[in-house]
Amino acid sequence: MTTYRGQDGLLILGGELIGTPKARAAVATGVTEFAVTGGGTMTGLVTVGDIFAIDGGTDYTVAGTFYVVSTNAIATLVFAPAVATAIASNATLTFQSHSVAELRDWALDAAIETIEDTVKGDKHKTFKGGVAGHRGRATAWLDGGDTEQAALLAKIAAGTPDGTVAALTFKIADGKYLYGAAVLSNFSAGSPEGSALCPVTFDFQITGPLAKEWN
Amino acid sequence: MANVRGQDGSATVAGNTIGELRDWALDGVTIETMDDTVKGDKHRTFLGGIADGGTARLTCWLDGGDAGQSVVIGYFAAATPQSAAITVVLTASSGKTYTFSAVPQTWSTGSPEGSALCPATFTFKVSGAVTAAWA
Repeated sequence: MTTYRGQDGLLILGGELIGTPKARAAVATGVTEFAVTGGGTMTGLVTVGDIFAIDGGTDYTVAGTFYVVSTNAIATLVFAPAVATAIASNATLTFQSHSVAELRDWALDAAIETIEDTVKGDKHKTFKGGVAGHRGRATAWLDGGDTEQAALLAKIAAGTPDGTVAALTFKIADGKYLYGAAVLSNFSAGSPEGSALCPVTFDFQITGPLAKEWN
Repeated sequence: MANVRGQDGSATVAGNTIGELRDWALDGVTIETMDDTVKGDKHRTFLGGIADGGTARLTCWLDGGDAGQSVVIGYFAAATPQSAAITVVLTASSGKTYTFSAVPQTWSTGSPEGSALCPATFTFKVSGAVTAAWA
């Protein structure tokens, strides 16, 4: 049995790859998917919207869905745009991870609604599970200059608000994640009295399923 | 008379022992009451109605690699969440148990600030009768 320290957690807009990801095989021009290998130990998950570069070249954006590292590899990663210059086997992949800075803590609440199905003649109430719904919250010290905090703030503090977060990852420790698509439902920021830092709190509604990765 | 130490407790869900368990609680086991007071009565009177098994709560240190916690987390973090009731056994100490069917209801976890372990709390809505065994 194992426990996990709060200090190892992160909130990530997108996914995370830990290790030394490389192209498993040569990739021809025009191709929009390829396999990733860790060479050695690699953990993590890649999500739609994540960006990576190969050998420091063009940025490619991950399309499709969530890709979980399995036995140090991702079998097929779909991305855009198509490869313009052929990529050599074993080329180094640089993955951009977007963790929220100044994070203090996060919390995730998952729930399954209960439906009472007690009928006449029953002496004890009985229930069935219904639709599941999940919410998350993260608190941080306010830093509008941080790319990820700024991206979240701009989802609501905008002429046309849109809280869509294509992929939100709650990291417990390396290789251990809870994740799903989300909507930023609100944020709260303030300037407190006296000797205190300015806080910000983000509330998320997970939309669709919540998933767990525990490598 | 005898008392029971908290440290001797444990819990299983669908036959899986929950690891890193800190405490369990069974709350809100109630019998609905029906007021059958009539004119002329000076004191309210009641009849018992349907029993509600209440809610079971398990508090743990989060460990998604633990077989028991993994099963419960899988009820929530799944494309098709658990809908059918499963068997939960709360043990106070050896031979002293509460057994019931229950529907997974909530799961709360987090990564706390500062020097603190990651917690996990699971709740289950009891469906049907609670069976006590007190050997």
